[in-house]
Amino acid sequence: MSTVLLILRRCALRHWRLALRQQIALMLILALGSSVYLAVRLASNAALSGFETFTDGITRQPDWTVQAVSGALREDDVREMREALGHRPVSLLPVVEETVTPASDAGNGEIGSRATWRLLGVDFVALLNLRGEAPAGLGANMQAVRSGVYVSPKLGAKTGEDLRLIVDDRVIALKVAGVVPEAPGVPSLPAHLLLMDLPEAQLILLRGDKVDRVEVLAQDSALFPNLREEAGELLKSLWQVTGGANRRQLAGTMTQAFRLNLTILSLLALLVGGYLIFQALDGVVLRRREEIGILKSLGVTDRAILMAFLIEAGLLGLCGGALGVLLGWLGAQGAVGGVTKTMNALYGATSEQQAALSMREALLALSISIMASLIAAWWPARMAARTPPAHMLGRHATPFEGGTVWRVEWIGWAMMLVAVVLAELPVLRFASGTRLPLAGYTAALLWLVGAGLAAGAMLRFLAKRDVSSAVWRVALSQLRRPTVRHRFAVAALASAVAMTTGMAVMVASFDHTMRGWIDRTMKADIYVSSAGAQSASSTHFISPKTVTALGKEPEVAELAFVQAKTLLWHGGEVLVLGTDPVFAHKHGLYAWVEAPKREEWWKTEDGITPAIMSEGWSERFGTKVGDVIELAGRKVRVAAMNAEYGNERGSLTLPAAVFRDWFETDEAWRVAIMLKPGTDAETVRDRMQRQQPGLSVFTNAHLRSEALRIFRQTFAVTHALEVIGVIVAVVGLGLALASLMLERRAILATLRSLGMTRAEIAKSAALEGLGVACAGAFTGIAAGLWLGWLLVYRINKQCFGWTLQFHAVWWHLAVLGAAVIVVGMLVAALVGRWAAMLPAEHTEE
Amino acid sequence: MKHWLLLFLSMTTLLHAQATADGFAIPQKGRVFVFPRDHGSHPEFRTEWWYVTGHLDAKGGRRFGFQVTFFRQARREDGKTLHLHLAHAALLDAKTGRFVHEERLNREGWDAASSETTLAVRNGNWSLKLDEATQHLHIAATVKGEVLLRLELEAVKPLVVFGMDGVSRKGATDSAASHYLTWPRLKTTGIVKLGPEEHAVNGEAWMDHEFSSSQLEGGQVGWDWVAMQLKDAREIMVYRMRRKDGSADAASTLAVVERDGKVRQLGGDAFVWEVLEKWKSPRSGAEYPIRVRIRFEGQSFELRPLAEDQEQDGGITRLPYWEGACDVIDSRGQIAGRAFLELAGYAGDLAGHLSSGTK
Repeated sequence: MSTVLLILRRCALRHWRLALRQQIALMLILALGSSVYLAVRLASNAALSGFETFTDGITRQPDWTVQAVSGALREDDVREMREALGHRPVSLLPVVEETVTPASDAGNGEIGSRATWRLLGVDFVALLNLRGEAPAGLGANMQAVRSGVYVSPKLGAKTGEDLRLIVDDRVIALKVAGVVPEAPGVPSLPAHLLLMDLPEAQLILLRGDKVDRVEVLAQDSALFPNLREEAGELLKSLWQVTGGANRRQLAGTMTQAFRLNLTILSLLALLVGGYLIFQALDGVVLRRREEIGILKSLGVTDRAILMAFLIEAGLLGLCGGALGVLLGWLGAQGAVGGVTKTMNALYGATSEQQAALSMREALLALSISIMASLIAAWWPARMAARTPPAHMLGRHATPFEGGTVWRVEWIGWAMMLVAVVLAELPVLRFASGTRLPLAGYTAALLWLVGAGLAAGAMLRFLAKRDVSSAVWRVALSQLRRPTVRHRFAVAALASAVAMTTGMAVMVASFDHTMRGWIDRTMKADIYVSSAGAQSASSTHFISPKTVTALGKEPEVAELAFVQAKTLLWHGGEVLVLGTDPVFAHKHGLYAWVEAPKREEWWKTEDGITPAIMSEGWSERFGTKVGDVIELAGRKVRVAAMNAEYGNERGSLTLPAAVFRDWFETDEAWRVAIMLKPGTDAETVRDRMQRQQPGLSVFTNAHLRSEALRIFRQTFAVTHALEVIGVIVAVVGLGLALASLMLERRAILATLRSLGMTRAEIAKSAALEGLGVACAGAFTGIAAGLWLGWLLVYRINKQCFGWTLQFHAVWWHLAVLGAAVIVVGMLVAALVGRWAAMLPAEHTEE
Repeated sequence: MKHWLLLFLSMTTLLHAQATADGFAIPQKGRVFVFPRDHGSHPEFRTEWWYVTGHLDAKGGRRFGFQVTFFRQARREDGKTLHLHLAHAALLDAKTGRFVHEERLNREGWDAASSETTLAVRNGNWSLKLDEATQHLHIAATVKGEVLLRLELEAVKPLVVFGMDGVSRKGATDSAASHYLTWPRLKTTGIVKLGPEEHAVNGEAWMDHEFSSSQLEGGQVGWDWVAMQLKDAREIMVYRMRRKDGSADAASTLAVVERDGKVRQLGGDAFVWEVLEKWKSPRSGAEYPIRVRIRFEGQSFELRPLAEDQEQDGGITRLPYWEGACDVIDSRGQIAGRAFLELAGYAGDLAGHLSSGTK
């Protein structure tokens, strides 16, 4: 071990001092890889925690959440729950919850730009019984309950201040009754949660004696060792009961596909980064080969040399990882806004949280960096240990051509073939409709690595040119017998370009499909929602009175509205919609994936309620057209399947009359208005907006642009990752060429003595780089097209349940290819200029 | 007698012959009680409680004291009447001196209720019900998830109505009164679960049912109350109203329930209350006279607590008080029976506590 430490101190650390900038660059590469992974992870965790805190802000995490099978829970239900639980010491907390929007936040006109807060109504008196588990100071005692809302200090509001809020379609003022101080050990209120006493909240939200859910706290003890389970079982007989981690899991399930996409993308970026680390460490070994040769001649064992290199790599990984943690945390702070915005648009109200760094995440990022560094150093270290001293010391050492794996291209082709087979495998399904396209992701990974390995063939193909110029000959001779470094550089470039191409194809396909869908389904002149409705799952509604008032406007020819209700079905959250089928049929608003057998699908002959399911529903639960399913205790026959890109949870559309009957509500979720011919929609919109400040009124054109903007936002995060991938690959190309030139410095010296100028040597290096860049770009784009196909037709369909039409914007791909080639050539030319000035003797730089 | 709650009512209520200023009923003489209806709730009165205390014995000489009480408290707010339900449950394990207690408060409605037709009160998972077929009472309660009480109670002596002509006077004014119904001796059987241990128990309990609207007068700072069950089949109930100057109010009373169920009531000047030992609570700082001697008509009974610390901390109401199981020692030093002693208003100024909770 002392020998290893001696080598480390005398050799490795000396090199670090001599070439400090190089070491820093290497650390930065490692830091970049781990920081991208960490940043994405932290940002998506932070956005996800926004969902959690709405539930957990009041008490410790509930053990069970009880909801009605259909309709609403009433106070009588809670009494029945208590009866069912008997003498068991279980705390029940009825809750009403509604999204509200501060009226003062006008946003920027975009959907989702206004803040979404939650108004939670809980029984303040009952909360007194949960001392130590619930926030104190809510103004309830034997004599009085103070009216108004309680807020977190983080909101910045003061006691006595009026908060003007949009609740459903109304603007109301609520007094701040108090600011709940944060106490250690007691859950603190999230910034955007307003807490109100249950009866007052029911009054404000016009709920009567209805509640949305009952949270159940049942802690096991020596007296009641199975209390939690017993309570759950007793309640399940009459109500819909989900585990305490319910909403957290639900939020996790809802956003799983999205987060998985981000993670996979960041891992792919790491993969490309891995190539880079390998190339950099390979260069380190190359620069020190004389020194290694001397050490070996002096009797230092192969094992000691291997260990010394691995420890050095580990140290590099540690330093790079630490830097990566810092960079990742900084990056996450920037990314969290984007990720939260996307989650908000797709899944509903979450609050923007700070991306907090936990010890676990930091250790994970450090481990990734150290592991990547060790894996990448393994082969160069092994080469350093195994190569005989004579080869090491020789001035004209044969360039290393790499191991068998890198020279036998069929392995790459085989991996691609396996990827094609895997792409045909079905998605993994879990309870509650969660799906994991494991085979699809594995196929993507194999395809990327395989395409990288096979890309070497392209180098030989490019080198087949017959040329007379010495510069060209020198350049092409290198490509004709590509070394492992050439292959690595091509593989890294090909993988990065393939990844970028695949993502570009998916985004283009999405955009193209969305436009078609919007053209088919958005035909009304004006659309109305609550001004607080900032996402697909907002609970803001429009009262029947307001709907009637809208319909009485003189320019209105026809009015229809959609009703909505979120239900738990097979353990997952689904959206049940109620629409006027005659209106939708008359205006051809359905985008059928599988059309109904009868045009008037809403008419039933056997008494079973007909319904339309969305494609997302079918994909999630495996339901087929014609199936009879049980929903809210009633039978429903699926008559058709429509395309719906509004949410990925899946929706089921019932005829309006059935919906009203089942859920006992006349409240509208969205209203669509057809205007009389010749009416200016903008004028009507402006007037409606003035008359109804609690509503958001959109013209058709505005809503279309908003819909497209939201869907584009979904993929905004992915663009940053693509750019990082390509940058890493191009830098990798530069590093690979630098290593090649170092290895060839004796040959370069010979070429110079034979009369080749430095400019010619630089040009030759640039051409060699051009060859590598072309091979990488062409292979990458070709491989990326298949990857795009995989993302569009397999992964996306399996994750979101959305069928997209394949669409590639060819000029985008051409620009990408050209950019990679030009930048690659420029980097190669710079390396060439540097190499042309290399002395024949080695010096550290 | 849970007068401490009533004291709080007295601060806000004007006196009136038939009803309080805010319209709650005042107890009237000559009321004819109809059962089971009058075992139930009387929402026309502001305050009502069902108060059960008792002693339980298990195998191996294991002994417990228990208390399960339900309060209903009404108030007018914006023209509506709101009812709050407060409840206390406690268990003393005499062997270890461990005292477990819990306080609970709920609105009337989804998690608390009291029937207006029979005895059926509930607060969360705690309940007290009368089985009309057997005339047995059933109690189910847990204390902090550590104790489970499931008890069946059967009256071995008939129901007693304390006071004159159906009205128990607590002061000189018309409204300072209540309807006070008591089962002075209830044979009790059931189970007590203490953690993983389950004990089959039997013993005797006492139950008060009292309703009123404004029975206390100003100037009173607390009270002492005792319910004794003697081995000679007599029961003695004492309430002693304490004034600011430390003297006992003239309305203080000692009542003897004879073997045949007949009740004899003595005025405040007919008995002597002698403090023998005090205990200072480390939590509230209150100094409670936990060992006392009561002398009347040549008889002397000493109350000796089974444990010093039987203080309920009043976590929600912020009104700590001492309510504990005691042995009754006669003048010969023999155990003459068992008792429950209540000491309220010792944790500082009770009125101050109450007003601090008021906004």
